[in-house]
Amino acid sequence: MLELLPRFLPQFLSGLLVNFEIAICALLGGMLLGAPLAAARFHNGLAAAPAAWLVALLRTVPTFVVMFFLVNVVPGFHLGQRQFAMTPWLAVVLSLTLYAAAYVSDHAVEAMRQLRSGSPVAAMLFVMGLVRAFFVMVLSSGFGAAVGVVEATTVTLRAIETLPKAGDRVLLICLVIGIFTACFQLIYHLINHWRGRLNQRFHRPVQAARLEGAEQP
Amino acid sequence: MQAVAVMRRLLAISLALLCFSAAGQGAQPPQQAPLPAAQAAQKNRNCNDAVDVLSRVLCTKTLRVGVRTGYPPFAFEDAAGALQGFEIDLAHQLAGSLGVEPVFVVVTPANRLALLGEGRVDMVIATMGHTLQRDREALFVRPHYYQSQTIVLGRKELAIGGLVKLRGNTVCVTVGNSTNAELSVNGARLKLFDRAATLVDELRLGGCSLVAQDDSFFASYLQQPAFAAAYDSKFGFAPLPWGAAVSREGGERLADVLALSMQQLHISGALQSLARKHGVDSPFLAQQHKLWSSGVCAQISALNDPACVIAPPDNQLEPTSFAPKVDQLENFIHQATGTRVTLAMFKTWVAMDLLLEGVWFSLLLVVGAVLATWGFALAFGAGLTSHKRWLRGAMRCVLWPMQSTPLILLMILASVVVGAMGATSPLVALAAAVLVLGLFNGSNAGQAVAEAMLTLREERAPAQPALSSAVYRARAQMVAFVVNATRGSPAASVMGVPELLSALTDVASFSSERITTYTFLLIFYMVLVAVVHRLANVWQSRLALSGGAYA
Repeated sequence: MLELLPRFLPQFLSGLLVNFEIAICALLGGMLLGAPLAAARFHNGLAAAPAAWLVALLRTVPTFVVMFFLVNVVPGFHLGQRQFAMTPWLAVVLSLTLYAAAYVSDHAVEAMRQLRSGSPVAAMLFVMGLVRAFFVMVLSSGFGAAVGVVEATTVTLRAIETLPKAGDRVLLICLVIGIFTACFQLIYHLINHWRGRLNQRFHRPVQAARLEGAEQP
Repeated sequence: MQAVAVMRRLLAISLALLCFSAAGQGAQPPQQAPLPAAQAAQKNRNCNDAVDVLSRVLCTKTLRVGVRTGYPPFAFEDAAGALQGFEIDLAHQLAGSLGVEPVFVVVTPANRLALLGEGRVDMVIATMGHTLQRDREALFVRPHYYQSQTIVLGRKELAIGGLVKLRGNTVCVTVGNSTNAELSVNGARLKLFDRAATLVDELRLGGCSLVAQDDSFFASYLQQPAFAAAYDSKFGFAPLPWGAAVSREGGERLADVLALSMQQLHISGALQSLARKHGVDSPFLAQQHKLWSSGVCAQISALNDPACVIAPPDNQLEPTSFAPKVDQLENFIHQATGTRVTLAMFKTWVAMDLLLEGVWFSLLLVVGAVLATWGFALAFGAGLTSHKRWLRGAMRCVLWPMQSTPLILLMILASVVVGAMGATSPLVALAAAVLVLGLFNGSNAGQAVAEAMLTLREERAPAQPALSSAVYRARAQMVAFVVNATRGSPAASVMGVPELLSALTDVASFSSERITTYTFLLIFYMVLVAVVHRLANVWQSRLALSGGAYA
C-alpha cells in the first residue's frame, strides 16, 4: 500500500479541489435562490405563503436521488443565450443548490428576525452558519462519486479497487478518514472560535447599552 | 421432410443460377457496346418488377447490401472514404458467389430492418445479432458468420472471476442493452450511459472501473497496444450469433443461396481467414469451421438441421399478466394529458420483482435508519455528558470522524469491512447501511442532546437533569437529523443494498426508459421524506404538549 501513496495523495488533493469547487458553486446558487425566498417569507406579503411552501418542498428533496434524476432525465438547459449540458458535475452542483437554498432561506429569515429585535450577534451567526453549510456541502459533494464525478471519494474508490487485500483497503480508507477528520475538525474549531469572539465583540456592547438604557430615568 | 424440401429447393436454385449465368455469358459478346440508356432503364424496370429478390439481384447483377460504418474492424470508412472491414469483405464474397456486384448502402442499427422491409436493400450485414424477436422482421441466413458476447472489461489489476463475483461492483453500461438485466440480477450496480463510446472515455478518465458492452465494440480498442496493456476482458456472457438477413417478403430463395455460400465459407476456412485478416478471429469461427466440415453438417440438408445451425436466443423478458392494462393506462394518460409516460417497471416480471424488492428494502432502510439515529443520538447524548472521562473521550473519537467524513466514504468502508467478513447478502448490506446512517446522523443529533444537557446542568446545578429533559430541549435538532437520515438513505445503494434507486436504475438499464422511472423514484423518496418529517413533527408537538414532564 505504501507504494500507492505517492501516486494517490496528489490525485486525492486534486479531487478534494473538485469537492471545494462544487461546494462553492452550490452555495452561490443556494444564496441566489434562497435570498429572495427568505425576503419573501420575512416581509409576509403575498409571496410569503408560496415561498414558505417552496422552501418546505426543498427541505424534502433527497440530494442523492435528485442528482440521479438530473443526470438521467434532464439532458441540459438554456440560460439566456447559453446552453448547458447536464454533466454529472453540474447535476451534483444543482442538487446541492436545492439543499443550500432551503438552508440559506431558513437561516436568513431567522437572522433578519434577530436583527429586527436588536440582536446583531444572531445576524452575524448567519455568516458562521453559511461557512458551516459550505463545509457540509464539501462533504456532501462526495455523492458525486456515484454518478462519475472524479472527486476525492472517487479517487479513493479507484485506489482501493487496486488493492488486493481487504486489510490494505480498510487502512487506506481509514487514512483518508483521518485526513478529512484532521482538516475538518480544525475548521470547525476555528469556526467555533470565531463565533465565540463574535459573541464577545457584539454581545458586550449590546448588554452595556441595555444596562445603560435600564438605568435611564 | 423439411430438410428434403430445402435440399430440392437449393438444387433447383443452383441449376437456375447455372442456366442464368450461362445464358448471360452466351448472350453477352466479349466486346459488347453499352446498352442505350432507354434500353437499360427498361431492363432495370423489368428487373425491379420481380417479386423474388434473388431474381431481381440476378437480373440487375447487383446486390444492394446494407452495411454499417464507424464500427471498426467490422465496417468503417478508410482515409480515402472507401468502405473497409470484415463485413465489407464478407459482402464482396457473398455477392461474388452469386456472380453479381455488391452496392453498399449505409444503414444504422435503428433503420437496418426498416430498409430491408421497404426493399431498399436486398441484404443486411450490419453487426446484427440474430434473436427470436428479430426473426419476425427478417429472414436470417444460417449458418451465422460471427458470434459476439457481452464482455465485462476493466483495468488489468482488477480481478473479477465471473458474473457471480460482480455483486456489489459498479458496472458502466449503455441504456437499452438487454443483457443489463442479467448483470443486475447478479447484484451488479449499474451506471447508465447513452453511447458506448462514452464508456471508453469514462474508463480512461476513472469514472468507471468496469464496463460491459458487446465484445465486437471493444475489438478495435483492444487492437490498440496502449489500451490492451491497460485493460482486459474479465469474462463474457450472453453469446449472440450474428447473421446476414434478407427480407421476409420474397427473400426466401436469396436466403437459401446465401446459406449455401456461407456454409462453403465455413467449410473452406475462408471466413476464418477473413476474420484473421481483420483481427476478429474467435473460437466461435474455429468451432463453426470444425462443425460444418464434419460429415453430418457438410451436407446441403444440414442447413436446416438443429444439430448444425444455432437457434436464435430469446431476448424478450417475460411480460407481467397485467402488462396490457399498463399499456392501456399509458394510453389513457397520453390522451388525457398529452404526456407520454412509460411504466416499464410494471411491464415485465424482472422489472416488477426489482421494483417490489426496491420498495421493501427502501422502507426497511428508512425505518432502520430512523430508529438507529434515535438510538445513537441517546447513546451519544449520554456518553458525551458522562462523568466518566474515558467514555467521553471514546465518544468524541467516534463523533469527530462522523462529522468530518463524506457519508459515501463511510458507506464504502462499511462495505469493505462487510465484504472482508465474507457476508455479501443484501440483508447484511442493509444492516450495515442502517448502522452507518444511524451513526452518521445519530452522533450529530447526540451532540445536540449533549449540548442541551450541559446547559441544563448549568441552569439546575447542583441537581442532575434527566436525559429526557435534554432530548426535549434538543428536539428540533433530533427531528432535523432523523429527516436527514431518511434523505440520505438512497446513498445505501453504493453498498449494494437493493433499495429503490438501485432497483429502478437496473430497470432503466434494460427497458431504455428513464424519464418516468426516475420521476417515479424522485416522487417516492420525496413522499417518504415528507411522511417521516410529518411523523417527527407530530412527535415534537406531543413532546411540547407534555413538555412540563420533561422540562
